[in-house]
Amino acid sequence: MSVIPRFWIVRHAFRDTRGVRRQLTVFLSSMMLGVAALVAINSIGANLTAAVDDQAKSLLGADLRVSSRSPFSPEAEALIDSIGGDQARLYSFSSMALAPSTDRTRLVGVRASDPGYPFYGEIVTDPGIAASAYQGRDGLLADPTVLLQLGISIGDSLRIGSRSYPVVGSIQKTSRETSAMESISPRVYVPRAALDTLLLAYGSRVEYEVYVKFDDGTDADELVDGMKSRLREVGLRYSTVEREKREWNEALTNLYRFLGLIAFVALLLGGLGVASSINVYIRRRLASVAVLRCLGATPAETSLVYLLQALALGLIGSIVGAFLGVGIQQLIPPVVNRVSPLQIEPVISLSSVATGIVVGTGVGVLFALLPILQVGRVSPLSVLRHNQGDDQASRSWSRRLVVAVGVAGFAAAAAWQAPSPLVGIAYVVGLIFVFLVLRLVARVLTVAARGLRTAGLSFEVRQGIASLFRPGSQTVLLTVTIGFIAFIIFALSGVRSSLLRQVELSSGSERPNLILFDIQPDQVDGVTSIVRASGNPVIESVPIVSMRIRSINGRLITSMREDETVETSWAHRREYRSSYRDTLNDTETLTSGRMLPSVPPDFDPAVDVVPVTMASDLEDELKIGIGDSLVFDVQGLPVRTVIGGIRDVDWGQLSTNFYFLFPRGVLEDAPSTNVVVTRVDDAARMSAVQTSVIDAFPNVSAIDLTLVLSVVESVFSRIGMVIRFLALFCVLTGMIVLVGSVLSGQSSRTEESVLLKTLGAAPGTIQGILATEYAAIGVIATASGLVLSTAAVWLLCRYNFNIPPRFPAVEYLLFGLAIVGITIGVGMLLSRSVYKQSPLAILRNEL
Amino acid sequence: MSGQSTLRIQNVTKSYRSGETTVDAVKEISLDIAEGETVAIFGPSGSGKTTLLGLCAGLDRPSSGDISIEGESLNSMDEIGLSRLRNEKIGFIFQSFRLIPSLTALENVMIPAEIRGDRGVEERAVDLLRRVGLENRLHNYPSQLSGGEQQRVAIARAFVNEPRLLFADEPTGNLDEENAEAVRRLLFEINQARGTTLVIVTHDPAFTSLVDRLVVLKGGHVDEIRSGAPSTALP
Repeated sequence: MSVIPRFWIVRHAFRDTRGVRRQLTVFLSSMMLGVAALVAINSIGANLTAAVDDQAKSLLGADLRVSSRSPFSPEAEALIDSIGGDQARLYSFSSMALAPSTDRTRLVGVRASDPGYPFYGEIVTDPGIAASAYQGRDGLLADPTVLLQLGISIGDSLRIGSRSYPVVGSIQKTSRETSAMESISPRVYVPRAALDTLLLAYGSRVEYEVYVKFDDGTDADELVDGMKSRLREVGLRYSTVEREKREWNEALTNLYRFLGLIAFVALLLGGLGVASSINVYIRRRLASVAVLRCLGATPAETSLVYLLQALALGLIGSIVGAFLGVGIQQLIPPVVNRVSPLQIEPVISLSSVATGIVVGTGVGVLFALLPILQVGRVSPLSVLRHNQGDDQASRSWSRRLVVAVGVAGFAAAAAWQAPSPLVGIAYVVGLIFVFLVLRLVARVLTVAARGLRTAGLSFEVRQGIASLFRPGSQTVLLTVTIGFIAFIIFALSGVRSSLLRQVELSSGSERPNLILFDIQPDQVDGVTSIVRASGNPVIESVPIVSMRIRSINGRLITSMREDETVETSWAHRREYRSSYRDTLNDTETLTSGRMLPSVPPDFDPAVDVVPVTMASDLEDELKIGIGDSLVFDVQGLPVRTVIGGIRDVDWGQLSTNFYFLFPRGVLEDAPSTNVVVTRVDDAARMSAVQTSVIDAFPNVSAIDLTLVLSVVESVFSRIGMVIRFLALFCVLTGMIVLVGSVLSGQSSRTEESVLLKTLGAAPGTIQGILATEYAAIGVIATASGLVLSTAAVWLLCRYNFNIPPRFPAVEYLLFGLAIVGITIGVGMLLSRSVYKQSPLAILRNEL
Repeated sequence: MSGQSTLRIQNVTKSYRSGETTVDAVKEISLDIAEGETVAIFGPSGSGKTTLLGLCAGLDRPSSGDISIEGESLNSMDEIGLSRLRNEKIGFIFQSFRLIPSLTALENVMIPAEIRGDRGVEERAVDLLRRVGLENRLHNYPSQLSGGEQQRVAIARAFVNEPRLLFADEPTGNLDEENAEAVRRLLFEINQARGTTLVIVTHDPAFTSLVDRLVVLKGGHVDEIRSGAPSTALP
């Protein structure tokens, strides 16, 4: 047979759907929502990528940015000068802001900038003139949050460090920064020339940046390519428009591809719906297929009739889904544009629409293949005799082939959609595992129902249980579908609860909630006195010494980074804030080696090696362990160390923890800053303590953890909203599949029910039978979803989030009852025609 | 009727496994049916009539022996070859009509020709339906037709590809006497006009006077072969 289907096949594929087209809408709807979610997510991804391409210059604010975490050295200054172009500097750090008119304080993100910054993009302010006026008037621009929380307005003054600035405008939007973190560290812009330089003193975490704009056509990428090694030598990082574009695109692609995987669950459920509806549909068509075979159609031709139908229906469902996805896509940009520096235009992405249609149609056809196999096996002899000619050997062989093709196709689509092929494959393996377990549970359920002793039970319950294993029962499909929905709902609930548990633990009544930092050594006593005088405990007072790793096992970090055969990471490059103490705190445990409390009195740092302990997180990053030696650069002085112990640190707890911990007696004389941790019980005192400390020591900053925790909760709820929105597609698809399964099993149920009614059963009896069946399936499927989600939550918490899992029993119970209730409700509602059917129909042969 | 053999059955046996034992549904049957001949196969239930019909029509394969249609052995044909043979040379009429419910009467008649690849079949199909008296029911679905009407559509369908051989399995088995009579008349009228070889599996004694030969099966083998009334002697 030629590749192009013969005319009669195409014609018959169309004609054969007469009278069942409404029934086949279940098939269409099953695919629709999954495709809609996929198209919406990928379209937004495409819009984001386009926005990055369009707005990359605004995102960077210049043609080139060079930056450092420490003040520029004279060599760095010389190199920056040699770059040329127009230059503007921006120093960013956190500091406390004090509003004298209301006596309130707030940690803010200070941006001290030169005139001209940003060269591209803009700071939108209210009033509009403020963006250009604040530099000339030594004024200040602030995020609305700052003004609101400090109870001040434009025209009032705000003190940062020892300088007071008039507030000339509020920041509505900047082209460079997201407002998502505004609640934690809201921004204020001040002129760099009017900055209290004490705030840049040693120990402050300052980001020093120089923005460069080239008017002479200089290619920034070419320029930095030629000076990479010199930039690195003087400790400068750099970014160009192209690089910025790449980084944004990588981050955004990972995000939307990850979200796309959730949409894939909806597609998978849709696929199950397709398999179910096509299966029922084809079973009703087998008699006609046998006639066609008798009339001379070959097995390939009859199979092609139904394959064409599946293809056409999948295509129509996917096209409708794609339209729906495009509709959803239009709703998203206003939400994203409010919190993102990127301004997204909801332009229809034809490639995303095409991909959605191709993937949707492909998944539809893949899932339809297994039921369609039956068509090819129909013997023409079954026109004369039923159940003839089913070749078991070829059946098992072809089934395996189709399953293998289906799994491979689905895995390929997921691998393509996922952030990385490995993630995609792992995802598919996980889904297949869940699917297989649910299928196994359903099989066990049918076997158990068959073996159950029901003699003592009521007629309704006995018949309901028997419905679970009767020929044509929908037990397996319903269990898998409802189990999947339950799995998704319980897993999301468990992960959310486990993450929030961390926040609750951190905000417990015994936990610290105020961290004062950037305290100079000579200010420690003053700060602790103020804390104690206001009736609050000093829970921790910790010295912090900044350092970088100079070499590992004798090999210089600079040489490792230049060697392309050595894999280096952030852990090799970063500045470490380390401390020293003689005991472990309650958020860390020593897992191997030992911790030296202090070095002997005769310790000589120039000669002796210091045994330090390292957080276990760095083992993989630095690829080192106990016995390996490191030389730290502590403010220019080399300190030789050896890893003496490894600590497991619970970073989820808001406490002072360190990657490297030194024994006492080594770093005491090194330049340091201090952190004081306390707990303040009420909001009024919280504000008073901060104001007293800032009044006395303007350089000291404070983090109010109660505020941070409320922000974390709000961030969780925002992320949760996105995930729940996508999960909604899965649940809705599951509902459609549930509806489809109930409807497709209806004809055999109607026949049974009418027979029972003819024999004297009341409508209530029929309802009782149906309720028992749906309740049994609902309970077992929900319980299976719960067990599977428990395992998934445990694995995610253990390996992904590194937190202990929590399983919210009450929430689970409510969700479980809701799922079982909906299963029974949907089942009963859609089966009304079954128990309302008149017994007369059996005489008229109308069933 | 000419003497040339259209259907030749040579020593055909069909066995089925039933648990530990093997059952011969038809046993060493040999029969030659000439071109244009009409043959009725009689016999009690379980005598192997339907099995023999399935084997002759290429719906099933014999365990031993050979069947050939117009000199072509069915044993040598693969599944596709048998499909083509059924489409081009064989027509079928079944006891339970076996119309495709999603197709109209006209479409049901057209489908064998469409499978063959004929495009301009509609006129021929309408003609046949007119011949069986259903010119006003062309666009009705099977569910909108009576049993007799459905069987008349099936007769029109059986003749649309002008087959060399027509197999009818209890064609009047599901009809009342009036409709059965009409179906018998139509079947033989059209068959006679076209010279098709006709093999009927039936319990209906009314066919005995219509066919050239009667083959009586018993226990899977031919018990008796005798002449029927001449086909010209229509009631």
